[in-house]
Amino acid sequence: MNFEQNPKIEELLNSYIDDELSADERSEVQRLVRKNHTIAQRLRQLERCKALVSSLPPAEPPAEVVAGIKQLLRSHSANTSKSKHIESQRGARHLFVRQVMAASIIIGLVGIMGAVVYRIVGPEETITPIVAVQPAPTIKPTASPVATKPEETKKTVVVAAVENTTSIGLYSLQLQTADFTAVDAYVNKLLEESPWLRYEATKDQPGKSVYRILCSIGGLEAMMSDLATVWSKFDSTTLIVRTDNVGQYVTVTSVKPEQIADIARQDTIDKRIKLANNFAMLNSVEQIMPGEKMLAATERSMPELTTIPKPVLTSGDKNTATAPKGAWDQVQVDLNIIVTGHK
Amino acid sequence: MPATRCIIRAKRVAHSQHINVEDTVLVQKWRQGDPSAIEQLVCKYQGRIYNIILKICSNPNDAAELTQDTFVKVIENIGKFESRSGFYTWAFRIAVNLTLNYRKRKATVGFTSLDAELAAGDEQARQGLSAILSDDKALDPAQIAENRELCELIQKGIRKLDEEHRAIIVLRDIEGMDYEQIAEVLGIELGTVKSRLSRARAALRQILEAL
Repeated sequence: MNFEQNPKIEELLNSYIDDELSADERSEVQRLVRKNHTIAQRLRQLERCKALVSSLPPAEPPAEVVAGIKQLLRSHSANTSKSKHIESQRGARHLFVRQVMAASIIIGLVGIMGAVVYRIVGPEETITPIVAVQPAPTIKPTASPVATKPEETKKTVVVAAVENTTSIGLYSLQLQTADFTAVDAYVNKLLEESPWLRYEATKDQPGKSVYRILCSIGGLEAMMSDLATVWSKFDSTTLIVRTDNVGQYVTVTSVKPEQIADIARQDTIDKRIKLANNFAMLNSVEQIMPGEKMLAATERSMPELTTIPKPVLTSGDKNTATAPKGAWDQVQVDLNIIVTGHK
Repeated sequence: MPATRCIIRAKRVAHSQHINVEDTVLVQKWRQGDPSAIEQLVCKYQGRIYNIILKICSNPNDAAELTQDTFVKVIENIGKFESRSGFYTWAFRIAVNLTLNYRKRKATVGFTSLDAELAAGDEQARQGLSAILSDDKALDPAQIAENRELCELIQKGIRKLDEEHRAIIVLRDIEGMDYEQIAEVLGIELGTVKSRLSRARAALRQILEAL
């Protein structure tokens, strides 16, 4: 039998002598060996060849190889411990940086929280000092041809000492009207021609004007008196009054100009709140029973609440020189007037 | 993960994959910072690795250098060793690859004086070898090992094999690896191991008969 032409038998015999066959395969090989003399002889040759190689004595590594490997291990251990030391230093540095960062973040958060808390529970904002300018009476030019100089206006500076004054935070007066354009123009002109009050107008939305008014109680009374002339033009009048509690307000619906002045005149916030509550109740009852006269159950005598004195329409040419009584007093009132038209 | 749990897990994996548990535990210990573990592994395998390198490359000086190179590679790369195979086959693979690559680079070195050496060889040893191969003489491995001249002849026969055949004969018949381990070390299929080993033994027999 030529084994070069039957490599599978050769492989099988090799696997047999290497003990790499299953029990069934081993039995098959043993059967072949028993039956075939040539295969049996080949098996013996392979076994002898293998035994020859396996009999070779193992070579021991020379001493210098073992010493070299030991040296290698020692240097490796030293490097490992050195790198571990460097790593631990790096780790400590990294930890320190993280701790510093964490502390910075905590300080930042505490600062932000402090600012938020201060804003919520801190004292009310004080009004910035206001410098009001009272125009002096205009000197009319004479008919003399000599008097050809341009008209000069003398101005008297009046300082309203409002520094460190806490305002009466009425918060807002919301006025709704169908005739927005005419009413808003009137309000605008009224404010422009009232030099004893300071105002800021915001008109960033069509059909809505917001006026922030800073004035004295006398100035507010004068303004309310003027506003009363167009009060009938408003479909809805609502006053929102601040309370001591943050976020809590008293809402007085169908409020009247003199009621606003009355509330502002109260010397303490408790009295203002109490009066505002009374007006709120009275106005709501009045809406249910129109035409009835109602009296507020306040300690002091109240004016007639349901009978508003008929406003007197003033001419467009207001005399700025004749300020109402108390209009130039200390600024105490901070009120937002919101005039809106119907959508 | 605690060290003990890591070692238990490594042992379980080693058992399931028929890998040497002791080696696996030592590798695990080394990874956990025990430098003595790698020393134990090196001591365990340095002789065997030197032996197979010497049998493949046939030059003691080269074998010494390649053995050191093998352990440099082992120490450098043990962090990348994934324990999918055993440390034993992994280290031997490094050794065999280094040796075969080295032999390829120095292909001209080796057998230049072999014929002359054979001509001057012991005639008695040659006759003994012939008798063993022809099945006329009883085979006693101990006697063969003691017969220096006969061993020299066999080693010369092995050196005449080509690299692939020499490596597989050394791994199987000298190192005693099973076919699966050989496949892993040489990076070949199990079927290739069978056919290559069969051809290698046939070639060796022819060489030895011709000596």
